[in-house]
Amino acid sequence: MNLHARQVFGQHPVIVRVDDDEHVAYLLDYLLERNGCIVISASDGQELVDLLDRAPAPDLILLDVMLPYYDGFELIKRIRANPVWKNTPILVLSGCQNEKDVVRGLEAGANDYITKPFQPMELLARIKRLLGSANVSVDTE
Amino acid sequence: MFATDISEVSGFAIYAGQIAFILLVVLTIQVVLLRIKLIFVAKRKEKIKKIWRPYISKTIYGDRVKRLKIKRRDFLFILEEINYAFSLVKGEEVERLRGACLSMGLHKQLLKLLHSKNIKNNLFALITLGNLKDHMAWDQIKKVLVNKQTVLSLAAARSLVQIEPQRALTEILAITLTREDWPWANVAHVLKLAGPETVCSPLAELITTSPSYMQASLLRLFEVVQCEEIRPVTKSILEKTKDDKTASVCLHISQDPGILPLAKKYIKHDRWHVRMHAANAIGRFGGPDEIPELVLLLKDKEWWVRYRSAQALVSLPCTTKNVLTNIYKNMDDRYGKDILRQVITEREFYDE
Amino acid sequence: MMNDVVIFSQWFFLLYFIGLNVSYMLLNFAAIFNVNKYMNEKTLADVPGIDSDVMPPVSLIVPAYNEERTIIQSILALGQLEYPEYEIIVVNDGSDDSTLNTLKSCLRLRKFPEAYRNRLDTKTIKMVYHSTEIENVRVVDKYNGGKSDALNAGINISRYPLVCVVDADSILQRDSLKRVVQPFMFDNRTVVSGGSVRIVNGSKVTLGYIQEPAAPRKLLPLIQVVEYLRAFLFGRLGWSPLNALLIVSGAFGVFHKETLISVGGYQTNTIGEDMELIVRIHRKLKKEGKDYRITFVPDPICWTEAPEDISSLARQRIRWQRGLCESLFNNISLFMNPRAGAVGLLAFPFMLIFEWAGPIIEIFGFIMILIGFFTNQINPDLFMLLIMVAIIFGMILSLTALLLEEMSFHLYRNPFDLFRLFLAAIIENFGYRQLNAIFRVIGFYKWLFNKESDWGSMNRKGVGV
Repeated sequence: MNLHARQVFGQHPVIVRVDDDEHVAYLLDYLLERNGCIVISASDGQELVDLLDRAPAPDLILLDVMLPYYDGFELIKRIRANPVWKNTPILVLSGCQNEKDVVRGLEAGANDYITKPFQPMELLARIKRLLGSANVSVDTE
Repeated sequence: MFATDISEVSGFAIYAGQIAFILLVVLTIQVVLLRIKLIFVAKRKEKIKKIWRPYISKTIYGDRVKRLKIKRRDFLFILEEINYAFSLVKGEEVERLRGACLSMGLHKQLLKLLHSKNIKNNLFALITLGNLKDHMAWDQIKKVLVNKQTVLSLAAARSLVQIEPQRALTEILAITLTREDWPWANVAHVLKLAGPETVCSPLAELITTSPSYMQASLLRLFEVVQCEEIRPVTKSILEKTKDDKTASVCLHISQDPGILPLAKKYIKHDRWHVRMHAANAIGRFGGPDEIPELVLLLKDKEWWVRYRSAQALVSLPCTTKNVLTNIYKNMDDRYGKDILRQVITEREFYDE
Repeated sequence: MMNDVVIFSQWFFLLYFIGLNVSYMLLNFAAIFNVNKYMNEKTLADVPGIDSDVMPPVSLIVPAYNEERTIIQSILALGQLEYPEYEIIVVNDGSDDSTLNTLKSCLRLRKFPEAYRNRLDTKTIKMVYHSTEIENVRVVDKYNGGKSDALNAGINISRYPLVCVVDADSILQRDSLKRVVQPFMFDNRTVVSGGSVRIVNGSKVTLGYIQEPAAPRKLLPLIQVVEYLRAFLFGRLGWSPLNALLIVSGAFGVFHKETLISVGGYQTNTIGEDMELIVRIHRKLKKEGKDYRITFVPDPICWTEAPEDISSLARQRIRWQRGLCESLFNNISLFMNPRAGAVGLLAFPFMLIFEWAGPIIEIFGFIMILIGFFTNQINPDLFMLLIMVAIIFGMILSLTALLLEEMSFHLYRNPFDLFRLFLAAIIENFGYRQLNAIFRVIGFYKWLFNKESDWGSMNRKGVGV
């Protein structure tokens, strides 16, 4: 199945959002959907791993670091090793302000990094940039 | 004869048994009540989430919202939702949420909460007032800053800093030396929240005027806040101090290459932690001329000094593999050899 | 004559009984007060009050003896802890199975010329390895010397100021380390901090991660859940504020390394090495006149498997009792020592009377009542009455533990689980406690006559992968 997610969902960019915190998830999904994205949610590492096996690659993955079962670093490794998903841009969103974690995330293969508390407009700008390099655009009002 | 004994024993036993049985029933009821309460609270929280999360998200992103009413019994749960949002999002978007909260009339209700007898309520009030940057509550919060309860006073310090960092800092630094109950880590957090631009110069002033035994922990605060002013301060303190802990911290945090001659003086200090930090400083600022000093420290009797010296040697810009191999070959001390070998291998690990 | 003995022993037993219950009630009050205070203060702690960059680095020490099946899973789980800076030191204590080879291949170990210090005497270390798979993992391969010896070797190798001792089979949560280190940041006199241990049986575990806490289906572990609640919530929460905590679980505790080394590390010829160490730290630091803190963190941060069959339970309890006896008598100079404060005047005598001698007195009292009953010294009504009062008091203690749990963490979300725990709290007083007392008497006997040490291996099911 080498289908791209957008072939299923139409022209809207498809974003997989992985976060185990309901509150963050709500805020993020609202922001993304409001800007014309389609959100596929995964609330822990296992759910993303399941998605990797059966779903077409999305346009972007928004990934938390501290997740149940598999942490963000492990997930990045797995995404990059997956034949279908390997080129999907990954934006890591995490509470760790630790520089070490930033380095670790980027080394593992994340494309960009943003820390909580985050600035919504900045997050959106980064998502746009990553999607732009993948030739997709987010609606702007 | 056992009639009397038995009546004594059994009388007592019946009495104790009755009390115990009543206690047992009370306990059971208590456990059941708590569980019932828990279930109701969970239901209410779920309801609040359903209403307030969309409200908060919409407010943050500037979308139209219907004004919500706050029920009194839901107040703490709603505050929980609001405060959590503040911990997730920053920037101008949050100002919208702030404005919305203040226009809902939270100020008055929070002050009431601040004056309640329940410490949990007080904490909630302090945290929220800080998040809302409620200037009008300043004086009330300032009163809590000197509260005997550590948690309350720290929470007050935190919310003052959120409201007006500059002014808060004057208040906090004025009492920080007398608040021995304030854990260092919490003070560090509050200062960091205030940001380097507000903290550094008053802190530098405080350090130079404070007694020498306090200097070490204040200097560490300096480092956590990541102050630029650290340079001149560390050098001048290092020149004067007689306190070994202070010397150590200075050597550790200084970003001033000008301390190199001072660091070299400290390699013969009788406390090992001073020698260790001296080695570390030499590693950061030194060059080929410092190799003999570090080689000498490789033979130190304390493991940590040897380890840091070896690391310093390896990190010097001039030490190529050849230089290190030569030092290793000429090393006449077994411990020195061992540690050097370990650190060289360590470097190979990370280079890969 | 016989009469006198019976009457005397009745009164003695009664006094003991009153003393026991009064002490427990007092501990209960202390615990209820503390749990309230703790939960209130958590309001602030959950809002980030501390930045991760000020948390002290920690060395985790994981002793491993024949753990080929579980060791990799444990290390992978430990590698995902939410903590800024820590290292994991696995000590292979001369395993007979392929523990070392498993480690070598899964963690891609490479030999490392570690220039460690032998600050504590241990059996010879064969080799130190460095993992090239997970950066912060080192493996120590040494000759077999027992758990204490392995821990001491780990301490020698560790680099950080705090060491955390973790059983290879305990399941931690992401924030476990963060929570248990907190006392060190709040009070710089802290030398030891221990966490609350819970029973994992019955809960669903996936990839070393508790999915949802649930009460065990089987009776024996179910009763042990109540027992653990009692021991951890009011046993430790009651003593902790007095700084008189005599037990910190060996399954998950953090130590100030220099203190640990200055008291001589773990003792190798003892059975309850974790308890002995704490009592010794009290004794030595009190003797030096140091101001120190040993703190208990009530948050459930470590999960462990409880024995599900009687014989494993028996072995475990016999071992615990022997360990307790040793720990107390190795450090007997604390007893009623006014310089030792609350430890010497309260906690130590409490342990000695109710934990060391307790089981014997209970069994003895029970036998006396039986004798009294069969020789017609006690009439049947009184006999029943005494037994009932004792049982009701037992229930009160168990229920208070349940109450504390409901007041604080209420982990078991399903009301049926609570109901089952409630039943277990009642049922355990009919048979389980008496059985336990017998095991403990056996432990006492083995300690007294220094019977060969039996490491009490347990039939583990192994936690699901």
